[in-house]
Amino acid sequence: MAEYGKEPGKPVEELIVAGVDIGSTMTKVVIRNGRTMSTFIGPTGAEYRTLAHKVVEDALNQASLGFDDLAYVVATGYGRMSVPFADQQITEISCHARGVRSLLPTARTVIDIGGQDSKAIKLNEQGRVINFVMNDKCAAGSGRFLEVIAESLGLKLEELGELSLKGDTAIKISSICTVFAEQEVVGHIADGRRLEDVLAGLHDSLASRVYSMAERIKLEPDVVLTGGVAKNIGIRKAMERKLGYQVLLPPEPLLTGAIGAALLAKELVLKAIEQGQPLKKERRPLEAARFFE
Amino acid sequence: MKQILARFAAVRDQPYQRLERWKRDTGKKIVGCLPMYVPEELIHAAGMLPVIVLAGKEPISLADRHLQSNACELVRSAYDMGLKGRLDFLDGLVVPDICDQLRFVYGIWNLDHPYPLMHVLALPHRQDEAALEYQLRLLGRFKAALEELAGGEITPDALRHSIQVYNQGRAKLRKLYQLRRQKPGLLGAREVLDVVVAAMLMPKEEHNRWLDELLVEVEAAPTPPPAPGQVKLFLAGQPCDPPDADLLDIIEAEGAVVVDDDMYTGFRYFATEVAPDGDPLMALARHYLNLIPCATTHRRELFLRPGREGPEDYGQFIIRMAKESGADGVVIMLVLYCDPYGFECVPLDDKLTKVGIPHLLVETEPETGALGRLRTRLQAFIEMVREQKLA
Repeated sequence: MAEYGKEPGKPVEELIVAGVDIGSTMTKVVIRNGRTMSTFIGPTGAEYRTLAHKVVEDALNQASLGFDDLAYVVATGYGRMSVPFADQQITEISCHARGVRSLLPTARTVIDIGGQDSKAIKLNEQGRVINFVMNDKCAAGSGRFLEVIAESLGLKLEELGELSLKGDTAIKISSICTVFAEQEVVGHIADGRRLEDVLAGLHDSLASRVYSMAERIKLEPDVVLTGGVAKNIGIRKAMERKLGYQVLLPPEPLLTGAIGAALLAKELVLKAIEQGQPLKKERRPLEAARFFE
Repeated sequence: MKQILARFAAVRDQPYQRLERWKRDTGKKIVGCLPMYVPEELIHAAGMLPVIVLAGKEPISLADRHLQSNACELVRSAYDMGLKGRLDFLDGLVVPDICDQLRFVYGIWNLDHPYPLMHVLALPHRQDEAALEYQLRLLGRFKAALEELAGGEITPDALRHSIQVYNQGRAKLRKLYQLRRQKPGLLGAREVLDVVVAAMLMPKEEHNRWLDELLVEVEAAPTPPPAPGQVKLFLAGQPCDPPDADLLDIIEAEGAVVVDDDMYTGFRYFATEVAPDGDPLMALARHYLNLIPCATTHRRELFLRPGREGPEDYGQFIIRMAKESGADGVVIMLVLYCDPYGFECVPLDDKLTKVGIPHLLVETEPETGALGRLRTRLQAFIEMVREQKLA
């Protein structure tokens, strides 16, 4: 491993760090090499416990780097504990906040809607987390909600949002439970309602659910939407209707957590160098998670 | 120290076998008390053993036949254990009339699975002179019921002696809590919980002796060096039933140490002592009336603490305790379906926000299953508090 900031090591500016965000649905890797960044996004799948190292390997290959080039790895997301080669695990709350702070510094609230949960994070003027709230009990208000509906209607997940915008009158759909909502949607379609109107209601329902949760920490502009669901224009518009103002979107909403993780990794390295502390006790190889350890 | 702590843990793990054995060996009677505010001293003075009935660890299987699904864990679990016969060593059950759940489970329990003595201890929901008189009369009635069960009179001297034994226990537990504040990280939150819960499940004299042994070792032990970025937390809530010890472990595994709490199976159980002089029954009435009130009984402007000047409401109390304990943040544990405490969380949240104490509300429920998800929230909270502390 290269020793940064020490002779004959590399200068701090060339520090290479990685952020690994293992979400319930997508795995995201960001490698920061000095000021340049390479990214990798892939499905998490059921095997993520054993595959995190493969994803990182792919990302490293893309950047023509080896694992030993990485000074520090921060893992985050739902599967962060299954990244045995990470130097530290940090929650997605802190990582999203850090990522958003660097991408969109005017943000005071981050609403992250991921595959299995949603969260709202309140930031102060310095971009530090001052409060957060999470829906971690059920799939309503998460990307899974949209996936279930897309599946049952035989639509592509990507087309749901656009279609919903073509609705004239949103049909009210319950926002409490994904299973019940699916039944409602199928029922409305069977009743001959317009698909676009049903979808408009559905997007409204998901946005309502997330909005009422997020409002518990008192939403303040600017509001940034992150996570896979942020890519859905229907949700974005529905959320803006509830808020009464526009939301901001990072260039790639899936990556904010991994970007934040990489930034935190860099900060941790710099801090360790500043304090003259050894960076880590023990470096573990880039390998799969072993069970029973 | 670990050896002594293991003894307390063993009592909490297997409370009932131990009590059954005690009953066989001594031939004495055991009276169960549901949380909170049952004057154990009266039972003790009648020559019987008071034990607090808490939620068990077994999955609930029989109680759901009788109880609605939004009954709290304590009520469902305690009643379930009763139906399964786990508490058949009890000669009596005292149910304090503090909330609807306890009040109503009493009636069902009495119908299905009564013990020789079934007693509802009605409690005043105010804190004034009229309430004191009422409380005194209720305790008189309770005393008479206990005397009938015990087959003998509770003399003032016996009661004074029992008060003394219980006060000693309270003082020792307070000493333990004081040492926990002074030596953060020395005692785990689970270990402290074991010690307090054991106090509710075994003879006080024996528990007091164990505490003496423990205190000597805790006093002698050095404070462990704080982990980098250590965060000190205060636990609020969980006013009736003990929290899931796994939850406490998660909190502490994420680089936080618990320095104090406001739990019934914690500080609330021994916060103040009974006045040792004067009429002992009156002293008991006054003591139990002035305890930290249950959320059902929150006398918002009249939360009088002995030894404190002026009234203090629940939020002010938590803020003071958190500050005094040196905590960096507060974790509020809300037992699912404890509606009164749920309502109490609203002004508490508001007050903590106003004084800038970071806090996290965690809903605790049986068979959580989602502890992993709770872990993310707790970890994120600890990261947030750490960052604020460093800033």
